[in-house]
Amino acid sequence: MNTNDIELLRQLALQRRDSPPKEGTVVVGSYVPREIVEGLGIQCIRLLAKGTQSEESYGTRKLGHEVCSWCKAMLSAPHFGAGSFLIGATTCDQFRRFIEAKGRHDKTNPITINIPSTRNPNSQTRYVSEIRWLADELARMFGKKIDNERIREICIKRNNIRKKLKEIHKNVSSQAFLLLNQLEYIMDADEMTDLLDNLEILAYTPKKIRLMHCGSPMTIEENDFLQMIENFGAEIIYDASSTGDRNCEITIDTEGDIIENITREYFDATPAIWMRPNNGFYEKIKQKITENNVHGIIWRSMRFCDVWNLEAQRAKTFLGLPLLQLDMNYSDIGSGRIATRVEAFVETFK
Amino acid sequence: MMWNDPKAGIITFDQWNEQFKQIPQTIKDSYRVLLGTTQEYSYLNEPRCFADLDGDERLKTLKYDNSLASIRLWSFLLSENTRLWKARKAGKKIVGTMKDLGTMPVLAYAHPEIVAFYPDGAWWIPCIMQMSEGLLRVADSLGFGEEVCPSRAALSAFLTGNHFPRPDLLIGGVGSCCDDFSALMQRVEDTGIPTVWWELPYRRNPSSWEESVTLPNGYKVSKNLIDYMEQEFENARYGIKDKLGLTITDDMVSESIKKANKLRVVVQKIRDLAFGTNPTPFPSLELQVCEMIVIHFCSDLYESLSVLEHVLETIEFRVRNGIGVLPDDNCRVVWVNPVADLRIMNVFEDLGGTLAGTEYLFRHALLQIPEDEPPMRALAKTALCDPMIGPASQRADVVIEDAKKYKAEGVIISGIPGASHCATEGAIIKDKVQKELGLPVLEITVPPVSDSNFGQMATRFEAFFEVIRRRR
Repeated sequence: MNTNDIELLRQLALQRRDSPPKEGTVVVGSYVPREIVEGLGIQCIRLLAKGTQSEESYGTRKLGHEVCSWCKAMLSAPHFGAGSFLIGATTCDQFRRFIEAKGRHDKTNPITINIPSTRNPNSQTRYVSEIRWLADELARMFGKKIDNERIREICIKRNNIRKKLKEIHKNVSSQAFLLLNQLEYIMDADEMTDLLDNLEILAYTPKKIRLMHCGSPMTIEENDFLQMIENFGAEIIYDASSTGDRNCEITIDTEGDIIENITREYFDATPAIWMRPNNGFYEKIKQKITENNVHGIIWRSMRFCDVWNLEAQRAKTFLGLPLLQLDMNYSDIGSGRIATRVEAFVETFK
Repeated sequence: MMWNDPKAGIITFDQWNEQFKQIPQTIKDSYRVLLGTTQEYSYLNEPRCFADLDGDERLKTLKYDNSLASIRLWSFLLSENTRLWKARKAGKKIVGTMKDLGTMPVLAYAHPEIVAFYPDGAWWIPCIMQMSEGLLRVADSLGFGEEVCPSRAALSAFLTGNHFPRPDLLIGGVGSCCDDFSALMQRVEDTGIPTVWWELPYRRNPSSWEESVTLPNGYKVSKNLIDYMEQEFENARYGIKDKLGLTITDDMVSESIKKANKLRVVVQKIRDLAFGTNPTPFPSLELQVCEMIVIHFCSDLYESLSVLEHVLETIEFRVRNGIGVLPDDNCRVVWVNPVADLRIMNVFEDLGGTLAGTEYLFRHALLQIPEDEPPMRALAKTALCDPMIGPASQRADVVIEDAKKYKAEGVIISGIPGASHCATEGAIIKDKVQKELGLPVLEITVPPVSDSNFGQMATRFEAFFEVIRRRR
């Protein structure tokens, strides 16, 4: 497999995502360190919605229309149905409430852990205690023993994967990078390591117009959206969503208290837009704009995602670059409305 | 001079203005606030003054309880912004507490120089002023459109500066909080007001093996969580000292807790009598105002107690004498969520409803704050009872408890358009209520001015009440 064979990567990602999970698989959301789960010897994948209109419509029927498209589409996500177990963190109100609704839908008892939105020593202590509790709780639930050495091993593997993904990004298209990140979401560490080791990295010339993507996580289906951007002559150079570059920016210190290190890294490494105050997020974005010589920003929020949507005006003010705000649902991915707006935006840089 | 209320009843805006003329001036002058300051004044006023001078046009369409306690209650509520401006002139520090709805003001009011209020309350301005103030249009222009709940009016109120004074300090509760309101608070901080952020953590059930603590409402949480929350209150106390130069001691907090508890006892008595008596002794609209006052004392801790005691005396008198304001066969309903359009409560009663319990997002503000333990820990424990920071199924339990206690015949879940919690919790509450009590549940959505929906709303109320009556 090579990095220019987008279709093959896409098929692999779809096939993996749409396969029923193994019995006892744990599915985790953002800010739930999968290293803890995998370190306990439990199969673990990260949450990835299926970005289609039919999944979203199903979610609308079950949850109501004012829920964000990502949450709606996740309600029936194929890779975490019967036999799997959800652990989510309180990253936003919609997701916090989704966890409960999902449990009700699947007749399971998912776990919600508290990731504070404030950043101070008290909040950090809280997050550390939540993750320690989670490790204990999972160990008891699954009849496992917490083995710090095993967790350390997993951290090393995941660090290597993320390091490699970061390196690859410089030489691959934004589509390939997104698909590799999504594969990282749903593959175990050994499989992903194999995939990256055997991946042929072919020469790729990035498009001239360099854009940044900020917004909700992307589904595999939204690869079409990236393809559209590329077709118009632009490239997402930095993706600030949790399925983009932010996914690779965690490097866990493997010396010392490993659980403490994991939680501190997750807590500090990737400032998020939902944190309060969120100036850390904007500082990081500004730094990435400079580092990557970004020309413009696509600010894409899924419909009813207040977290991104309500920040768009501030982002325009703070970031000082041309910014295209898109409010999308999954029927919009390839729509003429979105294509026209993206094309017009890209043309302003030509 | 004495005043005897007329026979209990519900009257129109015009009738209230006529009746107001009969109240002796000495009584009108006796309800005073900001005592001992240069800004002391009497706030009692006829509804017409608030409607014509302040632009509170919606008042003209509402119906009111005809007691003196009621007009005092309304005057106290509607004069809040004026009182805040006067408090500023009197040299008080104005603190805007946001989102937690009930606990942080107890800390803030511990210092005599602080007047605390919830800017969140601005969500009623578009209703009260019948959209004439343009706050929602301003919010639209700021990117807070119709997908955001009416509390977006608070952002516009901050920016226009036409309603409440600019606070000296904001204390914003975030975390397990609506996404839109969290974004709103972030925008408000951009205006340069010093802001202390504190966390409203998710309240999960403790594991059987965790050291746990029982909260004032009976929930159990891990001891860790209480420790964390206590430190959050300490951070807020430090923020007040750091930003305003005002020191609040434990003794001052304990005193404040005692005062808040006294008020909470009064509100609980009001609820028990009003929801538990047939015929209903006091209308639902005024009862909603009474509950709202408890969250931040409507910007005056002393007067709020006096106002609510007055309401309680009126209700007690009516209950003693078997006097009601609604027909005794009205359908008894637990109401979930406050309404953005106050007039809906009138419509609800006109069509045959009466309140038999409520859950207006802040049940924790009605609980007694423990007085037998360190005050900051007591505040932490009470704040953790917030029905909005735990699973929706726990909020459903609060509804069920009221339904049982006050013998409700149905539940109305009144959705707030654009509110993220309303999107998913309605179905969970409905399911649990139906499963455990077998009661009919009606879900409606109430926009800030819902005149155009009244026909549809009336049909739904009527059908709902028919279902209830058939079950009798």
